[in-house]
Amino acid sequence: MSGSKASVAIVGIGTTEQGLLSGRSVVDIALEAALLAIADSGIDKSEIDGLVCCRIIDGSLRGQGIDEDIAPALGIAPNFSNTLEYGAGAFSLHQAVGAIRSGLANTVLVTYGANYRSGRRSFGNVVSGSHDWASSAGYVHVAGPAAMAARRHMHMYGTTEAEIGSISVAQRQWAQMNPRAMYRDEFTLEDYLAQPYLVEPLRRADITMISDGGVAFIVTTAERAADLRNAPAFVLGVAQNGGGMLGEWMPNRVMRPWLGALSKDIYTKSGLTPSDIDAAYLQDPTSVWVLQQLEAYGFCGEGEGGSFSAEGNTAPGGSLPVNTNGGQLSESYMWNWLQLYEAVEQLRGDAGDRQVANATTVLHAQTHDFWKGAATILSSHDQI
Amino acid sequence: MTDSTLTFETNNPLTDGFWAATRDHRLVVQRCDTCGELRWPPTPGCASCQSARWGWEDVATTGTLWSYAVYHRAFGPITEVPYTVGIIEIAGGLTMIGLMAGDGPWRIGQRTYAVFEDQSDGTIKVKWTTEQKGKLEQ
Repeated sequence: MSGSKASVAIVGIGTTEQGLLSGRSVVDIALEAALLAIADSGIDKSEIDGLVCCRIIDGSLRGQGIDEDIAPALGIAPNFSNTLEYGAGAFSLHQAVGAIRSGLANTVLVTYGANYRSGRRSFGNVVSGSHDWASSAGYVHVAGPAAMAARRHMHMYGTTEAEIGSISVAQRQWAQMNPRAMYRDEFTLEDYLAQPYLVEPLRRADITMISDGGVAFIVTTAERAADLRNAPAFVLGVAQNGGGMLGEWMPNRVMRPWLGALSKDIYTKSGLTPSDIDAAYLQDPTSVWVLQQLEAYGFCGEGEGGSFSAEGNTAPGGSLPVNTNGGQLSESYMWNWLQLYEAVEQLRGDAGDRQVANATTVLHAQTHDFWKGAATILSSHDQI
Repeated sequence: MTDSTLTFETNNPLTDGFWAATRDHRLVVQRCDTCGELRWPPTPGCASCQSARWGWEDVATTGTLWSYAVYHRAFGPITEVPYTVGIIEIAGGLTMIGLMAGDGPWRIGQRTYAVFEDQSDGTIKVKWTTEQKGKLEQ
């Protein structure tokens, strides 16, 4: 046995329809997902003594899906509750894991609801760099730093546009088998290369879509999980790294040089190696972050992410399925939450046409901008 | 002409000295007067020693192109496309983000030269070119 026995597991998952949910508030959307997750887990809502919410960015705090909105709407009074900015699947899950491991809660509801599409939020803001200086140079939108990182990767390693394109193409193949996905039309490498540049060298397909949707999870102790009806998705290890917290003085911050340390940490904590991972769930607001994480988490060598993807390794039938839900590039703009949802479905054997045969252990990995990252290894076994 | 609706506020001690230097076609960055470290972009305090004492220091108006991105779509505030943004490595291990002047082609590792472009509102914008004698034609 490599690691210690898991003490926490995900036992319930819920998600709403994704897309354009006009007229619905984020609280309403998150609540729907929460009720679905509770029903899925088989627990009664009175058992929930922990609540971790994730607010959407922008605007006033209330009506953003914070814990003080969700608890009253659901009619619960959890001992432990908080709200994260950009909880994004991993950070929120880690809050729940921490609360349970410390005894602050036993059964935690984790929620997220968003209406970016129907709310028509503008995404032309600065994503990297002091706002005034970056804005005056037109360095706005996530596509900017993603393009910088892509160009640098092409220069350093000879990565081609076609190799970058293979990432979104592979994810679309998975999405075609996902009834939840927004984009399910055939999308080939030829289609990709025919698209005009958005921010060169990247194209529209390299950037996440914008959509509405909600998702929720029930996280509890391994002990409690044993009595519930679903096969638990055990948390074998959690790790976070804040190497980017020093801020923008780092000249190569768009390359996220601290990802290697995060990778080492999660494998050490779980007692596992990249070869133990059956499927990877890598946050993908842009295809370039998938490229970076493929390398950082040891699925291929440094600089080889492009060719690794182009060879079909991450696509259906490949050696390392990645984002089998289609990700943010093809499924929905859900900040890596639905990758977690999909990961649990895979571990339960409920992924239908997308089911990765014998999937027992998965990696779920996240970055928060260029500041920090989080990683989780989940398994259908409580110990490996 | 100006290519952006965005102008920096005046009477800001954190940036006034930078803009004053651009009028003389000089590039300056902050220097911590306690530990000597150079920093960019301007911040009130030093990240290394947290001192609030600082001054402006001249740096070479040259750099190296670390990476670049060509915007084919305008998300604002720059409205005319295509335009190219560069990440420029300058003295002291610092990097500046700026618009590239001219049409390229661009190559990582190219030597870059600061261009001090007069704007119609009387301000000056620092851009970067890869031509040594590059002076922006208005």
